[in-house]
Amino acid sequence: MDGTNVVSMSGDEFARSSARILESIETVIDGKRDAVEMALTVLLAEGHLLIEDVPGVGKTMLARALAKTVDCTVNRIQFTPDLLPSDITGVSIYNQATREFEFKPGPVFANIVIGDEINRASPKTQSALLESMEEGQVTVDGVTSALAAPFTVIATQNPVEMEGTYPLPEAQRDRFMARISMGYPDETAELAMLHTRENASPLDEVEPVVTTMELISMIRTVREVFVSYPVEQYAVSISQATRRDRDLRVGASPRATLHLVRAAKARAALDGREFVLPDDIDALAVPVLAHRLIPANRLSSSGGSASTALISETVQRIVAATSVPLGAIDSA
Amino acid sequence: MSTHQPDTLRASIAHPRSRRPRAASDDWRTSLLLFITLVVVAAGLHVILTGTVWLVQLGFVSLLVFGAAAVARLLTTYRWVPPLVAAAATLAALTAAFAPSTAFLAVIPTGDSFALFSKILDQAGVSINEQTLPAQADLGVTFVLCIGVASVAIAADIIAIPLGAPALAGIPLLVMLGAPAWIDPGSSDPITFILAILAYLLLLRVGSRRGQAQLSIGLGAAIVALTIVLTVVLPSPNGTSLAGNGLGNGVNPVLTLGNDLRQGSDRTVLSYKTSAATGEYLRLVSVSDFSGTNWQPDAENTARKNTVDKIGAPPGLTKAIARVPDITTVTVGTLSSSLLPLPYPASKVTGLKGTWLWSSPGLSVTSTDQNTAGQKYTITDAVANPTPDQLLAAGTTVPAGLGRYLQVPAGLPAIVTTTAKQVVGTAPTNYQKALLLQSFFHDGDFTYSETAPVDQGYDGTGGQVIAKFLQVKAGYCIHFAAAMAVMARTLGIPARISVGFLPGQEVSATRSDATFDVSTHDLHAWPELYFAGIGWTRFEPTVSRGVAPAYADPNDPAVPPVSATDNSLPAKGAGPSAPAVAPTAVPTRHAVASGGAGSVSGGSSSWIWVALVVLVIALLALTPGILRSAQRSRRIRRLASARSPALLGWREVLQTSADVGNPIEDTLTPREAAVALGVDVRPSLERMLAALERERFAKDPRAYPGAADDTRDLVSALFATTKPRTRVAAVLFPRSLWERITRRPAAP
Repeated sequence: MDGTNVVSMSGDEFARSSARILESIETVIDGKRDAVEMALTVLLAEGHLLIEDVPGVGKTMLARALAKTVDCTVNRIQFTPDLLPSDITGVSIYNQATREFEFKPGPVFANIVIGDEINRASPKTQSALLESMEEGQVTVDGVTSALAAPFTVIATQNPVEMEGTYPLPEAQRDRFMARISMGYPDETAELAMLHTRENASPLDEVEPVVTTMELISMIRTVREVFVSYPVEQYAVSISQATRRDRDLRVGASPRATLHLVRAAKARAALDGREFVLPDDIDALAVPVLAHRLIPANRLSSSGGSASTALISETVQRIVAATSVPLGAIDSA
Repeated sequence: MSTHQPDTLRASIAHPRSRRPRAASDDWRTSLLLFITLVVVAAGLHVILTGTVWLVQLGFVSLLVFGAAAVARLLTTYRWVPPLVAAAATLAALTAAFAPSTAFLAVIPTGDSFALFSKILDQAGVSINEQTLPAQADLGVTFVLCIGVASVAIAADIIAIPLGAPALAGIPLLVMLGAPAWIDPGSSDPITFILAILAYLLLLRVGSRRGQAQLSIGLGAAIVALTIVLTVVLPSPNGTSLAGNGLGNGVNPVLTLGNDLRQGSDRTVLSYKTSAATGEYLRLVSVSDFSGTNWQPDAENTARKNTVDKIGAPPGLTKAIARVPDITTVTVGTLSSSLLPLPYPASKVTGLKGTWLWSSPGLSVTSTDQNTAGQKYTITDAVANPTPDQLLAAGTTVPAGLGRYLQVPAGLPAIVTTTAKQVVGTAPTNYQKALLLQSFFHDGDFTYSETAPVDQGYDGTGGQVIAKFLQVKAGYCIHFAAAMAVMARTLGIPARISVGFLPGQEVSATRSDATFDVSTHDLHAWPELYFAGIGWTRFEPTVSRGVAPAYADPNDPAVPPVSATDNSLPAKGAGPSAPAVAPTAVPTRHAVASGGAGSVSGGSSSWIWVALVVLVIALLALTPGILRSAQRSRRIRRLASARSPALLGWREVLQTSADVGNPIEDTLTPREAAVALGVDVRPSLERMLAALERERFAKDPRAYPGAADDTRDLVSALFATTKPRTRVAAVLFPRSLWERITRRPAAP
């Protein structure tokens, strides 16, 4: 994203835009305010989102709704076991007319890429996303092509206990800024859903509420959110603590710390602040860190929901045990 | 890849176990345990000391040393400053307690203070020599103990904290623990011993660093074992120190005599073989100065030429008086004194180890480098045996130059003088007056009691004491001797008191000589009166003790019968004519005992100590509350100046919350903490929280003008949430203060 001629939004504008997006998504997804906010946070923090849950709770719906509210290019890739890397990145085809190889961009060339059931593809194909996710570019046959800006992957996956799934490699998991789960809707929300979905998909009625430029402007605003030294220190302390923890074999990577702070900036902006609070870090620690950590206990390191719960608990424990630095009195 | 070390490995490099820095809380715990151990160890001295006040004093000294060092450690990171601070505090306290009059600003010692200290030390040396076990912790002894305990405390503190070896800190402590057993073998108290070792082991367990525990415990066990073995194996120092039954050597032997007599066990201190048929009175020293409150030994002249192979002639004794020459060989056992027991008058002593010199005019023999313990020596003496006629012939003549033997203090109660006059009536000669005085004690209702004077608070030799003794009519040798001597003086007869031993128990006899054993209970004091041409002549007023010499024995036909007509008068007249002696005016034993130092009286000083300790405890108890309130008002003042950060107010609020029993963990974010405070003062809390967050986490903090008011508001709201009792505890013993001390957060 070249932000040269993009100006950041004022606080009011940002609040209005974000409210519009959330409102729009909530016409589709009922009673999942946290998940929706989290998705928006990741979008604004220029991260990639992994939505993990059992089938049928609205993972794809959330991804599509989010994509639809923004007036930008959206591609959807249905991951299957026989999906090939070139199905994602694109292929070079020999053009008889020009006698040259011509690059046909794959579905990854879009502002928002929805990777549905990403863990159904083979690791090789999953890895094809790696370069694009981290660096915002695709290299095919030695030719590197830049991806659109903004670029966000919203992937959904089923828990690994499900049939026909390949767990995401650690390296790939680390590239997702956050992992959320939808959870089942409560009784009222489920009842309401029966009515709204009776005849037509509510998704059809979702109209874009922000333009690409507005989204870029919002992202710009998020970038300008101030992170104080104590908050940085707090984030680093938490990451460091995960590396020392007895229950964890692999702790958070430095990239995880970076993602944690970036996500915290987006959360702060959504909350109408121009500075990050330790509370932002607290709130984001589990979604941002948990999917990257590997428990020390081999039995529970399989990636199943039991280990997910265990890791979440561990992260929560670490967050609760880490002192919140307030800085020295004289440094004010 | 090599840069990607496993996290655990990296962590262990960054935080090696052995370099774990000592936390401040460790130091506090170590200090506290050292203090407890030292107090327990000091309590072990109870086997050689009477009373308990000294323990309070020593506890205070230990508390001062460890407390000063610990507080200093809070304020500085220099390792050697705290022990220096502790030493300075101890010096200041000692100055304030022992030499306040010489100090600058009551605590800063001057040259005079050190001079006084040295005097007190001398006095302590004397007192230690004089006293029998268990000894009294008088001024000098207390001073020495305080210095000893302070030194041990400082040494232990240095070893345990700056040097980081709590196990070795046990060495000074356990040496002190062994001291009572060493001074008086067989007297150690196993309970103190066990308690001290338990406290020490606790110190090892808590005070040692992680990873060194085994080493410490091993070392500690070795020290404990060594101490036990040493106390058993070390040779008994019998006869070389306190264990001996010492007597005075210059300050005031009279005064401790009662203690020696009252001592429970009757131990043989010396034995002698003499050619004198009935044994000898063995004199240590004569006491003749009664110009002050109490009888004091004379300032005697001892010249280097006064060697004991030729002792000076007894003053006043002329050739006309018959003398009984004797050879006496004395074998001293456990008596430890720098005064030599001798028959009076002796002319030569042989066989002594060390330098012994006689002094004039009292002819007592002293040593500056030796004591009597273990000595064996032979005396050539010739006890004067004047006939009653010779004594009568002395009339009432008093040779010139004996004025000081007639001195009585100005405030001498009238009962002494009137009784003396009534007793002697119109007796024409000094000899008859002396006989009348002696028989006044023997034939009156006087009883011998070693305990009555102490129980009724008139032990000693002062004028008031003698007056009381004449009323109560119960006392022991010193009272009889002092009373007779004073009464003789009021009648114009030069008199002095001699202190020494009764002849003791005859254990074996041959045709030419007899052997006697002298025990602690043979300690005695008797009056000696001066007669012209005869010199100092012994009398024996004490009821049921001692033997009167032939010239003073009323049963001897040669002795002129004394008229008993006046004797009943004092008994009747004493009551009404006696000035009332207020009990408070009677000097207590402690007050008397301070005679040598002169400046501070022991009796009142022990009360000052108690008051001081109570005061210090009260102050200590109030200190946390005072400190905390001062901190709070200082913070609110700073906040009111509007230049101070909101964090200051926030800290105050959190600390107050901890004080009222709701500690807020520092792992909570400000928002979470605000909820955890549980107070319902929304506007203040929200304002403060907003200001705090903006100040701490935003780029552009804003001024927070209401900081002081909001802080005050929140503090009172926090107090309002608690029960009154909790509130009092929160004010007096604020927990936050203690928590800050024990868990000093590492500054980032």
